[in-house]
Amino acid sequence: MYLAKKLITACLLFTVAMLCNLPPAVAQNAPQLDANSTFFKAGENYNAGKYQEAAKLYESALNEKQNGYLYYNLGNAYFKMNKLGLALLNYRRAQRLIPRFEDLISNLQYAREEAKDKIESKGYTQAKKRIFFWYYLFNKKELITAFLIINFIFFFLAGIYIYAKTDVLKWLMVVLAIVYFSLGASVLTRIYQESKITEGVVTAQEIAVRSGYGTNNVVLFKLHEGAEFMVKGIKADWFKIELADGKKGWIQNSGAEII
Amino acid sequence: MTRLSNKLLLFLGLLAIPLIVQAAQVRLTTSLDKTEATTEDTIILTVAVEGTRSTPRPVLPAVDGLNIQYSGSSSEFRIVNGASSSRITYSYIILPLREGNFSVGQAYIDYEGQRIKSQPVQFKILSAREQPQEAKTLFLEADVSNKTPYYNEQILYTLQFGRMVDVANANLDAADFKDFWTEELGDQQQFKRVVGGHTYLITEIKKALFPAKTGKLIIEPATISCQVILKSKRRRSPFGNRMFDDFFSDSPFSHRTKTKILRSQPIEINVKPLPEAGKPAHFYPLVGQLALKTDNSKQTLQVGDSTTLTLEVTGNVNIRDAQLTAPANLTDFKIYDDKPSINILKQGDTIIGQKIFKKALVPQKSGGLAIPSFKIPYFDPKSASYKIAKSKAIKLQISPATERETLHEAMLPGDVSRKKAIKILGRDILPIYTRANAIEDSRLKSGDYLIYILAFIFPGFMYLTLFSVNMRKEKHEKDTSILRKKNAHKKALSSLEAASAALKKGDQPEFYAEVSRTLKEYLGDKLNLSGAALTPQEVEAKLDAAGLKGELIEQLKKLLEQCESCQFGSVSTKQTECHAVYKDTKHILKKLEKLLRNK
Repeated sequence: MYLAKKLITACLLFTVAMLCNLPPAVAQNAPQLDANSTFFKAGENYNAGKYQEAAKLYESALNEKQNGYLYYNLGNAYFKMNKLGLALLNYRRAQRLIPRFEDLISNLQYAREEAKDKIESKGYTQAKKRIFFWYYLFNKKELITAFLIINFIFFFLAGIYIYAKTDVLKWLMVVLAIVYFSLGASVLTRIYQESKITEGVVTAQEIAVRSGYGTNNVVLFKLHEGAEFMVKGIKADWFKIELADGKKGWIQNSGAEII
Repeated sequence: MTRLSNKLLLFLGLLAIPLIVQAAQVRLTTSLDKTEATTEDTIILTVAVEGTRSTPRPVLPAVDGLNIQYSGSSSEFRIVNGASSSRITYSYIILPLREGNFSVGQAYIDYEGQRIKSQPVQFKILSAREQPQEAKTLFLEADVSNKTPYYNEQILYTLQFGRMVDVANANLDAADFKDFWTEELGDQQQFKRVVGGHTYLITEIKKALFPAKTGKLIIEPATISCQVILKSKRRRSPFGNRMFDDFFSDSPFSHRTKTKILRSQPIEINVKPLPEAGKPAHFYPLVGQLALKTDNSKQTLQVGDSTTLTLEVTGNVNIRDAQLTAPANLTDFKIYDDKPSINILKQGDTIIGQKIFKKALVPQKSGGLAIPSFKIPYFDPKSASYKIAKSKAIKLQISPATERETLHEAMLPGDVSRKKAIKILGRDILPIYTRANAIEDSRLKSGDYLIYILAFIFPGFMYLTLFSVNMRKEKHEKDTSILRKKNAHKKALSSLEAASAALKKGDQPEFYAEVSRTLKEYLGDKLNLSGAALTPQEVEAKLDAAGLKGELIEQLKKLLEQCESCQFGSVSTKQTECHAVYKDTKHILKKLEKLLRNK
């Protein structure tokens, strides 16, 4: 009991200490008005067919706030400007934040169909998407929230189990433990993926994929605007890339953008 | 010694000669397998490095309009009459993307600080249709029967793949008829045809097209990629036998293949709109020739009986668009529509569509009734005018009903056959998102992370706390010594109350007995012993073993001795002395509790 009292005291002190570290609320609200007006002005420009101005305004709004819908709108503006690579890039960025937004899914699919390079993905990619469906269905915030809810329920039931050791509770906890570890692994993978440079899109009209970094290497094949790739390494101004069908090579970073 | 060293120097010198010669003779040569080709061909570029066996792969500059792919290398080392030579050959496949004169620039290697370059090579890429000299061995041609049709008028699209040579792995990438309704015109046909004195094996695919838009429409080219099988020239077999000759020349090992890509030419079609002048009301865009036939199952029937009227619309029109409305003067019958059925028939190079409408007619009155003629308007492109196909009127004799019957209207299943797949006429992205929540910042802030960490740790922490508390409780419940130790002071105080009661009664021996028992049992509980039988000396020894010494122990020993002498020695004491003993006992218990808490 003496030990428990000490632990609870320590936990409360830790909570208070963490809450004190929260950034002040005033600082959050300060740029709200600017972003608002920029957003609506960008929408007016888009509807008036002034896509370049709209894109600039969405870009400036994104400097202040990061939001999936802003990336989606920016992608639309670039699509209308026939900049397929930049459109796809922003749709992919939006997908990380609003993965279930139906308009985005539709526009992303359309933009991919418009891309010149047909890259067949390996068979297991689709299977992976079906098995780990939740990973592709939720954004990072949602995954973390779901994980914390399961974390709470799991330990709550574990607490009850100390006093009421029933079979039903035991099996429920086994199921929850599976969900718990799956979600935990998903959260860690997502945090890792978003913190590292892992994917990119070709934004140049055409880009040569070479056998090594440096222009003296042989051109293996060429990629066109909108081609998506995985980044496997970086050396000076060059990306080592791998396509969904397994083709590998090096491209200059000036013709591509990281998602 | 001098002679020996001279010989050694001479030997080393001789060894070094080939190396010097080798460095001096490194050459880079470029060659092509042909200097003239079409956009359907591939060209093999060979870059040979002579005079060295250790060199990086030559660097080839990229050329606009050409796709150059590395296909492998081979090396060769020869010693002829003591002279050695080496050669590494790098092969590249050039896929032309357009016509024109090209020059593959200088390939180079960096060898021992020197840049060794090859001479550039030139070649010409012709359009596939400009292919010179001899007749083409392969062709892919697309054509339509009419390049200026009306909207929704049937035209015939023909794609012919002709070949004079054997091909394998032919792969057709058909044209996208995105602005047309299409109907298949049977399976692909294969036949032989003589063109320009050469016999071609032709595979033909036909489709009926109905333009779904007006104006200038383009049918994009179809593409076929295939491998042409090149038979090697007949060589005499090693067995000098004709039979083996045939075997060697026909075996798959004697064949080489060459990849060919054929594209048909794009076809421009100018679709005329249907004229507005004379367009009938409720006109469905049926363009072509149309006929309407009727048939009735019964000529005589009773009121309330039903007869089936069959209307057959046939023509070279886009039949799925055909709709039939009942004449306004068909009022003497109740009409129940059945699902129309559609048949697509092939008549020569034309698609004939047939749509059969069936209607159940139930006469509502007796007498001679007439089913008036049904009409369906269409546009005839030959005369460029609107026409109307009519059915014949039918006369029926209706007799009165023998028993009046009530008709119940029934819901018929949906008219499925009228429906057709949606034709996509244009594509665009979906609009921008305009709701204000698009400006909310969705980035995770440092505070969010801290809350997440807390929310993650807290339930686990609470669980561990609960778990450890429960463990302690269970342990205490199981271990009697801990329980005795824990409850010793409480129990002693309650026993002391019994001693106090004995004192109040004036029963001094009982008082001393109670005090003695309280102290001994307290010590017994605290030290996990049987306390009742302890002597003051044993108490001192046990407390000494437990690490307790000093005045308090002496005091306790004296108290116990006093209790024993008053209890058994019939020594009478004053009441005040008893009270002092009671106080001392309480004081000693309090002090012992403090000292023994953590023992």
